[in-house]
Amino acid sequence: MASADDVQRLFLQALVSRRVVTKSLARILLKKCVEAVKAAKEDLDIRIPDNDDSVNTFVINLNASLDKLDLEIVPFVDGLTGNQVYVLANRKGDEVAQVASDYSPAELAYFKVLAEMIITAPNSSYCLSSMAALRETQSLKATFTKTHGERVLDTFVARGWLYKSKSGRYSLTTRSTVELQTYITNTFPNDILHCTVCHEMVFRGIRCYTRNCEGVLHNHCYAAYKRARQTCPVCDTPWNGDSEGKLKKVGEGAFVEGQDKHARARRRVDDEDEDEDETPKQEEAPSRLRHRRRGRGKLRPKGR
Amino acid sequence: KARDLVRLALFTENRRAPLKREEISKKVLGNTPRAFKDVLERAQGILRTTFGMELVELQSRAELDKEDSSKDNADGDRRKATGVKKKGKHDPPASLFAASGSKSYILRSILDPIILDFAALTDQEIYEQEIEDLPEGADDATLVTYGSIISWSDSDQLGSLGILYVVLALVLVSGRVIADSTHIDHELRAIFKQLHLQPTESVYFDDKSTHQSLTVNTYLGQLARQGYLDYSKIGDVKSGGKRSRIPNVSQAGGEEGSSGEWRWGPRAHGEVGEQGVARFVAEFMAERAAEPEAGEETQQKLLEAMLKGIKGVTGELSDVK
Repeated sequence: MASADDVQRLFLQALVSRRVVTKSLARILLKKCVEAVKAAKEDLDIRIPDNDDSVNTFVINLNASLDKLDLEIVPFVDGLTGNQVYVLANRKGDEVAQVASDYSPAELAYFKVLAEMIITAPNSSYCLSSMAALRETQSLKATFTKTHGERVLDTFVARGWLYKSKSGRYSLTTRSTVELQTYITNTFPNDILHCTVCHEMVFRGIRCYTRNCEGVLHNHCYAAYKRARQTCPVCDTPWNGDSEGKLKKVGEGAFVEGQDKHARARRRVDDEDEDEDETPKQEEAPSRLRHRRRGRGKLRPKGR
Repeated sequence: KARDLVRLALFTENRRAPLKREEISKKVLGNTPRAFKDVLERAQGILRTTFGMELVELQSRAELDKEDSSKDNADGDRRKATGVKKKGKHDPPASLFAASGSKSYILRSILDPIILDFAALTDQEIYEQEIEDLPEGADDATLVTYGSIISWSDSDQLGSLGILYVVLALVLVSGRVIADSTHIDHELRAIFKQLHLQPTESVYFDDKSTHQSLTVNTYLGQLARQGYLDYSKIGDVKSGGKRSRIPNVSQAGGEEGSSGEWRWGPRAHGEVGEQGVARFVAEFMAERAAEPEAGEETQQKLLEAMLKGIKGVTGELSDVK
């Protein structure tokens, strides 16, 4: 009862169960999927060589079917590790997708607030200290306690929406970045930086120390770049030798102790209609972004 | 429209909630309610072809009750007509619309069982790569991984799920119903006591869950609400499953409260099915009973003996519904 196509199906199910995989893992999984299907029907002639190219092709083929469903397996480079990954992402933030989250509206609101604070963090640090993160629970409705907030924060980390560094600072993960790409670009156009080399959003990297220069690179892009050139791609100032130390950091390296001591999420009063286009396209994390907040007023959650 | 339904099905399954027909009508069909049958069929096509899954309607309690009584008549007439619930059955479209259906659906894998078995095995290569891929600074405790093709630990709460399966197994081998009491030996709470699962004990969840733990009683209540288990007070069996509150069985064994019974809920029939659980029980009982050096043949014989033993209590076991 098995067919060669089952390899794709099993692989997809494996991907669905994980949401983000490194390319290396994807390659191993693909190999194992072929084994699994062959175990069910030995005479099947499945020829998928075990190399990076065939994984790429495989994913491209899968995307052809997924595209019609507004889902996509997005190849990406993880900002933290420099590894190549695939993210199974939802590409349309419609009413249907909003069903996906099993977080309560208050929890989603909390995530939204955290994301905002991370993206608008000063010094291009794109991270938030635990203290500041927990403090934000106060701006949500009264029943959302700090303890609950702590728990929810842990789940955000466990489920891959936020990353918590060794110093206890939260930042966005690859998954969040990919899933929320459109939302972030639309909502925070002035707060995000784009890599001069690959043009993707940069949350971890380096920037030119020259005033007003917009040269920004991902850490992994820079690693490759400096082998060829040692000057700023935009303004040509030297980036090598001693000057390398002058490079400014993007991401946690830029975090200045105490920078978010008094940070507060901007009060956003989003109209229901306005939100239509801006609702983030993701599956689990904030999809219910329609909420009315005025200062510390009551949050009225809409039932799931 | 069919694609919207596919997305809705995938996302709803993400939260482990059944997809209700009214949700489908509201979110997908909008102004073309009559297109349901059509849209569903096309969505099924996409689900089956691309994902190797399909939507299956859960049986309503009324159907389950009817089945129970027909089984008692040693009829063995399995009513598959109202839609099979577990992962993968290609019933003709008509069966999905039987009026007595519960109108709620779950998503189920239809891959060959051998493939699924394979997908559950832990594999050294996968495991090693997963460990390598763990983010730096990740707490070892939070991200447990098993190295199987389908990452069960990522999607489910394995510890609490284990408790569910134990309950399902106990109910099944007790003849499909077990009393909710501590008084009599072999009844659910008595067994639970031995397993240190008294009503106020905690069931723990890993970091992915927004609750750290629930009490045993609350957890059982949740399972009943989700449709995995069915709790009914004695005498109410006919009324389509009266879902009364699960009483707090006091430790001292007071007689107030424990007059209820536990049965399988429609969702359990849909997701795992009696044969599945029976096989699970038989397999580990056989494994324990076998001598360490026992050959495969002996193991197989033991397995069959166990299954026979189970059937002695339950009669014919039904497949996934």
